[in-house]
Amino acid sequence: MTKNQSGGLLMSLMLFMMTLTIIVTMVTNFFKLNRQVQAIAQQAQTKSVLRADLTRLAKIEATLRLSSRNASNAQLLKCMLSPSGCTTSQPQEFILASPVKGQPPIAGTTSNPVAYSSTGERCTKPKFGCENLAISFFAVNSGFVQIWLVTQTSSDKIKLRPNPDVAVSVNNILNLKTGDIASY
Amino acid sequence: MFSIKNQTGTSLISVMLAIGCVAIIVSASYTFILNSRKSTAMLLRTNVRDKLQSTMKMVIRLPTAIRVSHDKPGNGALKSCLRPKVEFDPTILGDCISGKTQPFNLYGPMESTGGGVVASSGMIAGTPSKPVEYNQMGSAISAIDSVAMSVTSWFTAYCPPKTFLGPPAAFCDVAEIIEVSYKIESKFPTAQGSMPQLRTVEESIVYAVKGISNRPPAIDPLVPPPPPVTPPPTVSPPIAGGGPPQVPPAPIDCPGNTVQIGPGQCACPDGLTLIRPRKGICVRLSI
Repeated sequence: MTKNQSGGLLMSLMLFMMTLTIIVTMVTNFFKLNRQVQAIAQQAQTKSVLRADLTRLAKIEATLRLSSRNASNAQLLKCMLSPSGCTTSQPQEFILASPVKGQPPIAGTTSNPVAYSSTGERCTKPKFGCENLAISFFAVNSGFVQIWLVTQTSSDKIKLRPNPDVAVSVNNILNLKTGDIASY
Repeated sequence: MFSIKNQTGTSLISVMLAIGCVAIIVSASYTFILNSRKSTAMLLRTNVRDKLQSTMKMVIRLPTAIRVSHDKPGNGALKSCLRPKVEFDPTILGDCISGKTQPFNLYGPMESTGGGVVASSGMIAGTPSKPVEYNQMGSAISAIDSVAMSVTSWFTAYCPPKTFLGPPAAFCDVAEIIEVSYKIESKFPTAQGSMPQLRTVEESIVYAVKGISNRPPAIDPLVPPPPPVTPPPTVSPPIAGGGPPQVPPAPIDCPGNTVQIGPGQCACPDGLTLIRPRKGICVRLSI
Protein backbone atom coordinates (compact mmCIF):
# COMPACT_ATOMS: atom_id res chain seq x y z
CA MET A 1 0.00 0.00 0.00
CA THR A 2 2.80 2.35 0.97
CA LYS A 3 4.62 1.37 -2.14
CA ASN A 4 1.51 2.12 -4.19
CA GLN A 5 1.06 5.56 -2.57
CA SER A 6 4.67 6.55 -3.30
CA GLY A 7 4.29 5.42 -6.88
CA GLY A 8 1.09 7.43 -7.33
CA LEU A 9 2.69 10.55 -5.91
CA LEU A 10 5.73 10.12 -8.10
CA MET A 11 3.54 9.64 -11.15
CA SER A 12 1.55 12.76 -10.27
CA LEU A 13 4.73 14.74 -9.80
CA MET A 14 6.09 13.49 -13.12
CA LEU A 15 2.84 14.29 -14.88
CA PHE A 16 2.82 17.74 -13.33
CA MET A 17 6.41 18.35 -14.38
CA MET A 18 5.71 17.13 -17.90
CA THR A 19 2.65 19.37 -18.21
CA LEU A 20 4.66 22.31 -16.91
CA THR A 21 7.48 21.58 -19.37
CA ILE A 22 5.01 21.37 -22.25
CA ILE A 23 3.34 24.65 -21.26
CA VAL A 24 6.69 26.44 -20.86
CA THR A 25 7.93 25.09 -24.22
CA MET A 26 4.72 26.14 -25.94
CA VAL A 27 4.82 29.64 -24.48
CA THR A 28 8.51 30.02 -25.40
CA ASN A 29 7.86 28.75 -28.93
CA PHE A 30 4.91 31.10 -29.30
CA PHE A 31 7.02 34.11 -28.38
CA LYS A 32 9.89 32.93 -30.59
CA LEU A 33 7.64 32.37 -33.59
CA ASN A 34 5.78 35.62 -32.99
CA ARG A 35 9.08 37.49 -32.98
CA GLN A 36 10.20 35.74 -36.15
CA VAL A 37 6.92 36.52 -37.94
CA GLN A 38 7.15 40.17 -36.87
CA ALA A 39 10.79 40.35 -38.00
CA ILE A 40 9.90 38.86 -41.40
CA ALA A 41 6.97 41.27 -41.83
CA GLN A 42 9.13 44.24 -40.87
CA GLN A 43 11.94 43.10 -43.15
CA ALA A 44 9.56 42.77 -46.10
CA GLN A 45 8.21 46.28 -45.43
CA THR A 46 11.71 47.72 -45.00
CA LYS A 47 12.86 46.05 -48.20
CA SER A 48 10.04 47.58 -50.22
CA VAL A 49 10.62 51.07 -48.71
CA LEU A 50 14.37 50.72 -49.21
CA ARG A 51 13.89 49.63 -52.80
CA ALA A 52 11.56 52.56 -53.51
CA ASP A 53 14.06 54.98 -51.92
CA LEU A 54 17.01 53.61 -53.90
CA THR A 55 15.01 53.72 -57.15
CA ARG A 56 14.05 57.36 -56.50
CA LEU A 57 17.66 58.30 -55.79
CA ALA A 58 18.98 56.44 -58.85
CA LYS A 59 16.64 58.48 -61.06
CA ILE A 60 18.35 61.72 -60.00
CA GLU A 61 20.89 62.74 -62.64
CA ALA A 62 23.32 63.98 -59.97
CA THR A 63 23.51 60.42 -58.60
CA LEU A 64 24.88 59.05 -61.88
CA ARG A 65 27.05 62.12 -62.45
CA LEU A 66 28.73 61.61 -59.06
CA SER A 67 28.87 57.83 -59.60
CA SER A 68 30.71 58.29 -62.89
CA ARG A 69 33.28 60.42 -61.07
CA ASN A 70 34.06 57.58 -58.66
CA ALA A 71 37.44 56.07 -59.55
CA SER A 72 36.01 52.55 -59.17
CA ASN A 73 33.38 53.27 -61.82
CA ALA A 74 35.73 54.08 -64.71
CA GLN A 75 33.78 51.72 -66.96
CA LEU A 76 30.55 53.65 -66.34
CA LEU A 77 32.11 56.92 -67.50
CA LYS A 78 33.66 55.21 -70.54
CA CYS A 79 30.30 53.74 -71.54
CA MET A 80 28.55 57.08 -71.05
CA LEU A 81 31.08 59.04 -73.10
CA SER A 82 31.15 56.68 -76.06
CA PRO A 83 29.28 53.45 -76.77
CA SER A 84 32.43 52.06 -78.41
CA GLY A 85 34.28 52.52 -75.11
CA CYS A 86 31.95 50.02 -73.50
CA THR A 87 33.37 46.52 -73.42
CA THR A 88 29.99 44.89 -72.96
CA SER A 89 26.32 45.75 -73.10
CA GLN A 90 25.63 43.27 -70.30
CA PRO A 91 24.88 44.58 -66.80
CA GLN A 92 28.01 45.28 -64.79
CA GLU A 93 28.14 45.93 -61.08
CA PHE A 94 29.15 49.39 -59.91
CA ILE A 95 29.08 51.67 -56.89
CA LEU A 96 25.99 53.87 -56.86
CA ALA A 97 27.02 57.15 -55.24
CA SER A 98 24.76 59.33 -53.13
CA PRO A 99 23.43 62.37 -55.00
CA VAL A 100 24.81 64.51 -52.17
CA LYS A 101 28.53 65.02 -52.65
CA GLY A 102 30.60 63.72 -49.74
CA GLN A 103 28.05 61.22 -48.46
CA PRO A 104 28.73 57.46 -48.55
CA PRO A 105 27.44 55.39 -51.49
CA ILE A 106 23.87 54.09 -51.46
CA ALA A 107 24.50 50.74 -53.19
CA GLY A 108 27.66 48.76 -53.81
CA THR A 109 29.07 45.72 -55.55
CA THR A 110 28.71 42.02 -54.68
CA SER A 111 32.10 42.06 -52.98
CA ASN A 112 31.37 45.29 -51.15
CA PRO A 113 27.61 45.79 -50.79
CA VAL A 114 26.04 48.62 -48.80
CA ALA A 115 24.23 47.30 -45.71
CA TYR A 116 20.97 48.65 -44.31
CA SER A 117 19.40 47.82 -40.95
CA SER A 118 15.97 46.25 -40.46
CA THR A 119 14.61 49.77 -40.01
CA GLY A 120 16.10 50.89 -43.34
CA GLU A 121 18.97 52.95 -41.93
CA ARG A 122 22.38 52.74 -43.56
CA CYS A 123 24.82 50.76 -41.40
CA THR A 124 28.14 52.50 -41.00
CA LYS A 125 29.80 49.36 -39.58
CA PRO A 126 28.81 45.68 -39.59
CA LYS A 127 26.48 44.91 -36.71
CA PHE A 128 23.56 42.69 -35.83
CA GLY A 129 20.46 43.44 -37.87
CA CYS A 130 22.29 44.93 -40.85
CA GLU A 131 21.03 42.18 -43.11
CA ASN A 132 19.62 44.20 -46.04
CA LEU A 133 22.32 44.46 -48.68
CA ALA A 134 22.03 46.86 -51.64
CA ILE A 135 23.89 46.02 -54.85
CA SER A 136 23.71 47.97 -58.13
CA PHE A 137 24.32 47.07 -61.77
CA PHE A 138 24.42 49.22 -64.90
CA ALA A 139 24.36 48.84 -68.66
CA VAL A 140 24.41 51.57 -71.30
CA ASN A 141 22.07 50.93 -74.20
CA SER A 142 20.61 53.27 -76.84
CA GLY A 143 21.73 56.42 -75.06
CA PHE A 144 20.32 55.41 -71.69
CA VAL A 145 22.06 54.29 -68.53
CA GLN A 146 20.00 51.38 -67.25
CA ILE A 147 20.23 50.52 -63.58
CA TRP A 148 19.29 47.36 -61.75
CA LEU A 149 18.98 47.52 -57.99
CA VAL A 150 19.18 44.40 -55.88
CA THR A 151 18.15 44.35 -52.22
CA GLN A 152 18.58 40.99 -50.57
CA THR A 153 19.96 39.45 -47.41
CA SER A 154 22.93 37.80 -49.06
CA SER A 155 25.16 38.79 -51.97
CA ASP A 156 25.11 35.23 -53.36
CA LYS A 157 22.88 33.98 -56.16
CA ILE A 158 21.92 37.34 -57.63
CA LYS A 159 19.32 37.11 -60.34
CA LEU A 160 18.64 40.34 -62.22
CA ARG A 161 15.21 41.15 -63.54
CA PRO A 162 14.89 41.25 -67.34
CA ASN A 163 13.99 44.96 -67.25
CA PRO A 164 16.05 47.59 -65.45
CA ASP A 165 14.62 49.46 -62.46
CA VAL A 166 15.73 52.86 -63.75
CA ALA A 167 16.80 54.29 -67.11
CA VAL A 168 18.35 57.76 -67.31
CA SER A 169 19.28 59.56 -70.52
CA VAL A 170 23.06 59.90 -70.96
CA ASN A 171 22.52 63.35 -72.48
CA ASN A 172 20.74 64.52 -69.35
CA ILE A 173 23.64 63.31 -67.20
CA LEU A 174 26.41 64.78 -69.31
CA ASN A 175 24.77 68.04 -70.31
CA LEU A 176 24.12 70.14 -67.30
CA LYS A 177 20.92 72.09 -67.72
CA THR A 178 22.00 75.02 -65.68
CA GLY A 179 20.51 77.92 -67.53
CA ASP A 180 22.74 80.33 -69.41
CA ILE A 181 26.06 79.03 -68.18
CA ALA A 182 25.67 75.42 -69.25
CA SER A 183 29.12 74.04 -69.96
CA TYR A 184 29.46 71.23 -72.42
CA MET B 1 7.05 1.84 11.17
CA PHE B 2 9.58 2.53 8.52
CA SER B 3 6.95 2.99 5.82
CA ILE B 4 4.86 5.37 8.01
CA LYS B 5 7.87 7.67 8.45
CA ASN B 6 8.33 7.72 4.72
CA GLN B 7 4.70 8.58 4.15
CA THR B 8 4.81 11.54 6.55
CA GLY B 9 7.98 12.85 4.90
CA THR B 10 6.48 12.68 1.42
CA SER B 11 3.36 14.54 2.52
CA LEU B 12 5.45 17.24 4.13
CA ILE B 13 7.54 17.62 0.99
CA SER B 14 4.34 17.85 -1.09
CA VAL B 15 2.92 20.52 1.18
CA MET B 16 6.18 22.48 1.05
CA LEU B 17 6.29 22.20 -2.70
CA ALA B 18 2.71 23.42 -2.97
CA ILE B 19 3.39 26.34 -0.64
CA GLY B 20 6.52 27.19 -2.63
CA CYS B 21 4.57 27.16 -5.90
CA VAL B 22 1.83 29.36 -4.46
CA ALA B 23 4.44 31.78 -3.08
CA ILE B 24 6.13 32.01 -6.49
CA ILE B 25 2.79 32.58 -8.25
CA VAL B 26 1.73 35.28 -5.76
CA SER B 27 5.11 37.00 -5.99
CA ALA B 28 5.07 36.91 -9.82
CA SER B 29 1.52 38.27 -9.95
CA TYR B 30 2.38 41.07 -7.53
CA THR B 31 5.47 42.06 -9.54
CA PHE B 32 3.48 41.87 -12.77
CA ILE B 33 0.73 44.14 -11.42
CA LEU B 34 3.33 46.50 -10.00
CA ASN B 35 5.20 46.78 -13.32
CA SER B 36 2.28 46.55 -15.70
CA ARG B 37 1.46 50.26 -15.36
CA LYS B 38 5.04 51.20 -16.09
CA SER B 39 5.35 48.83 -19.03
CA THR B 40 1.97 49.92 -20.44
CA ALA B 41 3.08 53.56 -20.28
CA MET B 42 6.37 52.66 -21.99
CA LEU B 43 4.50 50.68 -24.63
CA LEU B 44 2.17 53.62 -25.22
CA ARG B 45 5.12 55.99 -25.60
CA THR B 46 6.82 53.68 -28.09
CA ASN B 47 3.56 53.27 -29.95
CA VAL B 48 3.01 57.05 -30.15
CA ARG B 49 6.58 57.60 -31.34
CA ASP B 50 6.27 54.83 -33.95
CA LYS B 51 2.93 56.20 -35.13
CA LEU B 52 4.43 59.67 -35.56
CA GLN B 53 7.49 58.22 -37.29
CA SER B 54 5.29 56.24 -39.65
CA THR B 55 3.35 59.41 -40.57
CA MET B 56 6.56 61.39 -41.04
CA LYS B 57 8.09 58.60 -43.13
CA MET B 58 5.08 58.71 -45.42
CA VAL B 59 4.74 62.51 -45.64
CA ILE B 60 8.41 63.21 -46.23
CA ARG B 61 8.35 60.86 -49.23
CA LEU B 62 5.59 62.91 -50.90
CA PRO B 63 6.93 65.69 -53.14
CA THR B 64 3.48 67.30 -52.80
CA ALA B 65 4.17 67.95 -49.11
CA ILE B 66 7.35 69.86 -49.98
CA ARG B 67 5.53 71.69 -52.78
CA VAL B 68 2.73 72.70 -50.40
CA SER B 69 5.24 73.73 -47.71
CA HIS B 70 7.38 75.98 -49.94
CA ASP B 71 4.65 78.57 -50.36
CA LYS B 72 3.81 78.84 -46.67
CA PRO B 73 4.82 81.69 -44.37
CA GLY B 74 8.23 81.29 -42.81
CA ASN B 75 9.50 79.06 -45.60
CA GLY B 76 11.13 81.76 -47.74
CA ALA B 77 14.47 79.96 -47.80
CA LEU B 78 12.85 76.79 -49.13
CA LYS B 79 10.97 78.77 -51.76
CA SER B 80 14.15 80.50 -52.89
CA CYS B 81 15.71 77.11 -53.70
CA LEU B 82 12.72 75.61 -55.49
CA ARG B 83 11.75 78.60 -57.63
CA PRO B 84 13.73 81.49 -59.04
CA LYS B 85 13.11 84.82 -57.34
CA VAL B 86 13.08 86.60 -60.66
CA GLU B 87 12.21 84.50 -63.67
CA PHE B 88 15.72 83.82 -64.87
CA ASP B 89 17.61 87.05 -65.00
CA PRO B 90 21.29 86.38 -65.63
CA THR B 91 22.30 89.69 -64.11
CA ILE B 92 20.89 88.83 -60.67
CA LEU B 93 22.70 86.31 -58.55
CA GLY B 94 20.59 83.29 -57.50
CA ASP B 95 19.22 83.52 -53.96
CA CYS B 96 19.51 79.82 -53.04
CA ILE B 97 22.57 79.07 -50.94
CA SER B 98 24.13 75.70 -51.72
CA GLY B 99 24.96 73.32 -48.87
CA LYS B 100 23.45 75.47 -46.12
CA THR B 101 21.21 73.65 -43.64
CA GLN B 102 18.09 75.72 -43.01
CA PRO B 103 15.03 75.00 -40.85
CA PHE B 104 11.56 75.12 -42.35
CA ASN B 105 7.97 74.27 -41.46
CA LEU B 106 6.82 71.00 -43.02
CA TYR B 107 3.15 70.84 -43.99
CA GLY B 108 1.06 67.81 -44.86
CA PRO B 109 0.22 67.16 -48.52
CA MET B 110 -3.47 68.07 -48.29
CA GLU B 111 -4.24 71.67 -49.14
CA SER B 112 -7.57 73.35 -48.55
CA THR B 113 -9.32 74.06 -51.82
CA GLY B 114 -11.04 77.11 -50.39
CA GLY B 115 -14.54 75.72 -50.72
CA GLY B 116 -14.13 73.70 -47.57
CA VAL B 117 -14.18 70.45 -49.51
CA VAL B 118 -10.68 69.37 -48.62
CA ALA B 119 -9.29 70.16 -45.20
CA SER B 120 -5.70 71.28 -44.99
CA SER B 121 -3.29 68.81 -43.37
CA GLY B 122 -1.62 71.66 -41.52
CA MET B 123 1.88 71.92 -40.17
CA ILE B 124 3.33 68.62 -39.00
CA ALA B 125 6.94 69.63 -38.24
CA GLY B 126 8.39 72.99 -37.25
CA THR B 127 11.68 74.76 -36.77
CA PRO B 128 13.96 74.19 -33.74
CA SER B 129 12.78 77.49 -32.27
CA LYS B 130 9.12 76.60 -32.80
CA PRO B 131 8.70 72.82 -33.16
CA VAL B 132 5.36 71.14 -33.72
CA GLU B 133 4.39 69.44 -30.46
CA TYR B 134 2.28 66.36 -29.87
CA ASN B 135 0.56 65.03 -26.76
CA GLN B 136 0.82 61.57 -25.18
CA MET B 137 -1.66 60.16 -27.68
CA GLY B 138 0.26 61.52 -30.66
CA SER B 139 -2.33 64.21 -31.46
CA ALA B 140 -1.70 67.90 -31.93
CA ILE B 141 -1.25 69.53 -28.57
CA SER B 142 -4.03 71.53 -26.90
CA ALA B 143 -3.95 73.97 -24.00
CA ILE B 144 -4.46 71.27 -21.36
CA ASP B 145 -2.02 68.71 -22.75
CA SER B 146 1.57 68.27 -21.75
CA VAL B 147 4.20 67.92 -24.47
CA ALA B 148 5.20 64.31 -25.20
CA MET B 149 6.90 64.59 -28.60
CA SER B 150 8.29 67.42 -30.68
CA VAL B 151 9.05 67.28 -34.38
CA THR B 152 11.42 69.57 -36.27
CA SER B 153 12.36 69.69 -39.95
CA TRP B 154 15.14 71.24 -42.01
CA PHE B 155 16.55 71.10 -45.52
CA THR B 156 19.84 71.46 -47.36
CA ALA B 157 19.76 72.41 -51.03
CA TYR B 158 22.62 71.73 -53.43
CA CYS B 159 23.14 73.86 -56.53
CA PRO B 160 24.21 72.24 -59.79
CA PRO B 161 27.90 72.39 -60.71
CA LYS B 162 28.99 74.73 -63.48
CA THR B 163 31.03 72.02 -65.15
CA PHE B 164 30.70 68.25 -65.20
CA LEU B 165 33.64 67.80 -62.85
CA GLY B 166 33.15 70.96 -60.84
CA PRO B 167 31.81 71.42 -57.30
CA PRO B 168 28.25 72.66 -56.76
CA ALA B 169 27.89 76.37 -57.46
CA ALA B 170 27.70 78.52 -54.33
CA PHE B 171 24.42 80.19 -55.34
CA CYS B 172 21.71 79.33 -57.80
CA ASP B 173 18.20 80.25 -58.90
CA VAL B 174 16.90 76.69 -58.66
CA ALA B 175 18.77 73.98 -56.77
CA GLU B 176 19.48 70.62 -58.36
CA ILE B 177 18.82 68.41 -55.33
CA ILE B 178 17.37 68.99 -51.91
CA GLU B 179 17.84 66.93 -48.77
CA VAL B 180 14.83 67.14 -46.44
CA SER B 181 15.21 65.88 -42.86
CA TYR B 182 13.10 65.57 -39.74
CA LYS B 183 13.73 64.73 -36.09
CA ILE B 184 11.29 63.32 -33.55
CA GLU B 185 12.29 64.01 -29.96
CA SER B 186 10.70 62.39 -26.95
CA LYS B 187 9.73 64.94 -24.30
CA PHE B 188 7.41 62.94 -22.05
CA PRO B 189 6.69 64.56 -18.69
CA THR B 190 9.27 63.47 -16.12
CA ALA B 191 6.48 63.02 -13.56
CA GLN B 192 5.62 59.72 -15.24
CA GLY B 193 7.92 57.59 -13.15
CA SER B 194 11.60 57.14 -13.73
CA MET B 195 11.21 55.90 -17.31
CA PRO B 196 13.92 56.89 -19.75
CA GLN B 197 13.06 59.11 -22.73
CA LEU B 198 12.78 57.30 -26.04
CA ARG B 199 15.53 57.35 -28.63
CA THR B 200 15.48 60.40 -30.94
CA VAL B 201 14.54 59.47 -34.49
CA GLU B 202 16.04 61.25 -37.51
CA GLU B 203 15.59 60.61 -41.22
CA SER B 204 16.64 62.34 -44.43
CA ILE B 205 15.28 62.07 -47.94
CA VAL B 206 16.95 63.42 -51.07
CA TYR B 207 14.84 64.77 -53.92
CA ALA B 208 15.59 66.11 -57.36
CA VAL B 209 14.12 69.63 -57.23
CA LYS B 210 12.70 69.08 -60.69
CA GLY B 211 10.49 66.41 -59.17
CA ILE B 212 9.02 68.95 -56.76
CA SER B 213 8.73 72.24 -58.61
CA ASN B 214 9.14 70.92 -62.17
CA ARG B 215 11.92 73.40 -62.79
CA PRO B 216 15.33 72.42 -64.09
CA PRO B 217 18.28 73.56 -62.01
CA ALA B 218 19.52 77.02 -62.94
CA ILE B 219 22.58 79.03 -62.03
CA ASP B 220 22.92 82.70 -62.84
CA PRO B 221 26.31 83.64 -64.16
CA LEU B 222 27.82 86.55 -62.33
CA VAL B 223 27.63 88.93 -65.24
CA PRO B 224 29.03 92.35 -64.49
CA PRO B 225 27.02 95.32 -65.63
CA PRO B 226 27.57 96.16 -69.29
CA PRO B 227 30.46 98.55 -69.94
CA PRO B 228 29.51 102.24 -70.07
CA VAL B 229 28.61 103.42 -73.52
CA THR B 230 31.52 105.42 -74.87
CA PRO B 231 30.78 108.14 -77.36
CA PRO B 232 31.99 107.29 -80.86
CA PRO B 233 35.39 108.77 -81.59
CA THR B 234 35.10 112.08 -83.29
CA VAL B 235 36.73 112.25 -86.68
CA SER B 236 39.34 114.95 -86.57
CA PRO B 237 39.49 117.25 -89.56
CA PRO B 238 42.10 116.29 -92.10
CA ILE B 239 45.40 117.85 -91.52
CA ALA B 240 47.06 119.18 -94.58
CA GLY B 241 49.72 116.71 -95.62
CA GLY B 242 48.64 114.24 -92.95
CA GLY B 243 47.31 111.58 -95.37
CA PRO B 244 43.75 110.41 -95.81
CA PRO B 245 41.29 110.88 -92.93
CA GLN B 246 40.86 107.88 -90.56
CA VAL B 247 37.57 106.17 -91.36
CA PRO B 248 35.88 104.44 -88.39
CA PRO B 249 34.96 100.80 -89.05
CA ALA B 250 31.43 100.15 -90.18
CA PRO B 251 29.36 99.34 -87.05
CA ILE B 252 28.13 95.77 -86.77
CA ASP B 253 25.73 94.09 -84.37
CA CYS B 254 27.77 92.20 -81.78
CA PRO B 255 25.87 89.35 -80.08
CA GLY B 256 25.30 89.20 -76.34
CA ASN B 257 27.59 91.40 -74.32
CA THR B 258 30.51 91.38 -76.75
CA VAL B 259 31.80 94.66 -78.15
CA GLN B 260 33.14 95.61 -81.55
CA ILE B 261 36.92 95.76 -81.68
CA GLY B 262 37.50 96.22 -85.36
CA PRO B 263 35.91 95.92 -88.79
CA GLY B 264 33.65 92.86 -88.60
CA GLN B 265 35.24 91.73 -85.31
CA CYS B 266 33.63 91.35 -81.87
CA ALA B 267 35.23 90.32 -78.57
CA CYS B 268 34.52 90.22 -74.87
CA PRO B 269 35.34 93.30 -72.80
CA ASP B 270 38.57 93.15 -70.77
CA GLY B 271 38.54 90.63 -67.94
CA LEU B 272 35.65 88.59 -69.34
CA THR B 273 35.78 85.23 -71.08
CA LEU B 274 33.61 84.11 -73.96
CA ILE B 275 31.68 81.01 -72.88
CA ARG B 276 29.03 80.87 -75.59
CA PRO B 277 30.43 81.96 -78.91
CA ARG B 278 27.14 81.74 -80.77
CA LYS B 279 25.25 83.86 -78.30
CA GLY B 280 28.24 86.01 -77.47
CA ILE B 281 27.93 85.53 -73.73
CA CYS B 282 30.93 86.62 -71.69
CA VAL B 283 31.38 86.01 -67.98
CA ARG B 284 33.99 86.69 -65.37
CA LEU B 285 35.31 83.24 -64.51
CA SER B 286 36.84 84.15 -61.20
CA ILE B 287 33.59 83.65 -59.32
